[in-house]
Amino acid sequence: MTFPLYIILILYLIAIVFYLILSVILLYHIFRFGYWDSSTKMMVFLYFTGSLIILVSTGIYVAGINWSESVSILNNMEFNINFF
Amino acid sequence: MDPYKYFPDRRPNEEVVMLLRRHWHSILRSFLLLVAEFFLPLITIFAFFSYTDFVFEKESPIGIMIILGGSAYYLFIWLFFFSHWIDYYLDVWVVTNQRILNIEQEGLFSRTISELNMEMIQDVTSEMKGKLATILNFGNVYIQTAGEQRRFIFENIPEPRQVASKIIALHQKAVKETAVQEIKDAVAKPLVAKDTISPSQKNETKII
Repeated sequence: MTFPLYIILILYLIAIVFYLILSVILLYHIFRFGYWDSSTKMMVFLYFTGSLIILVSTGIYVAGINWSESVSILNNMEFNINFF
Repeated sequence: MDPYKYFPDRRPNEEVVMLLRRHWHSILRSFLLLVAEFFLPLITIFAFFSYTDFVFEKESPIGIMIILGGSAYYLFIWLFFFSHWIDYYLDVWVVTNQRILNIEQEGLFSRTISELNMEMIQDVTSEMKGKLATILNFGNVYIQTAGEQRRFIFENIPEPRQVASKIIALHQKAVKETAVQEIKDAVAKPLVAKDTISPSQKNETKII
């Protein structure tokens, strides 16, 4: 059975869209009900820095992949477990 | 920080005495959970590749799935930590000289604000349970109200004993002020009644 490799990328992008929507909702809560003090500023800065580090590093990795390939599964699923 | 931001319907002569949040140990717990969630998949993957003859290739389909799945996983644990912090940050108890406000964020789309007048307080109990609570000086404060069978609970707040004694002092002051105001009103009532007699009513009295 084969499927195009970019399916994985599409699934990842769907997850990112959910992530961005939830981030916007969280930010809305801070601005609507919270107060823009030093701890809030620091936390929002940390959150965006962390998110950017993950997204940018993944973006760099994604750019180096050839997405036109297809994947065949259930052909070579054998591997040996060597606990001892 | 401006504590008045938390309640725009401020009463005349109302002053904020305390603005309370849960003790920092509750956000530390979320942080420790984040650290555990961060290392757990790394350890699992490391163990998997150590004990199997599976070769990890960055550009193989399995490698792509692991890296993109890992990226999504780390983004979401970061998001959950942030939502925990917002939950911690938006749960506030505001104690003023006239009332107590309990502002509670329950998840993302549920927010409860309840208030209690100082005069309604009947009983204040502070509780510190466990070694950690005793060492770090945090605990619960239970406020029993008169009239209804309702309890206000300040959960895991720092210095619960001091907070309880301050609330009792504020309650006593509020009761005293209310009593003084009632006496003043009672004294002022006959005078007001005398002044409110209209000239025509006065004339009627004279005729009789």
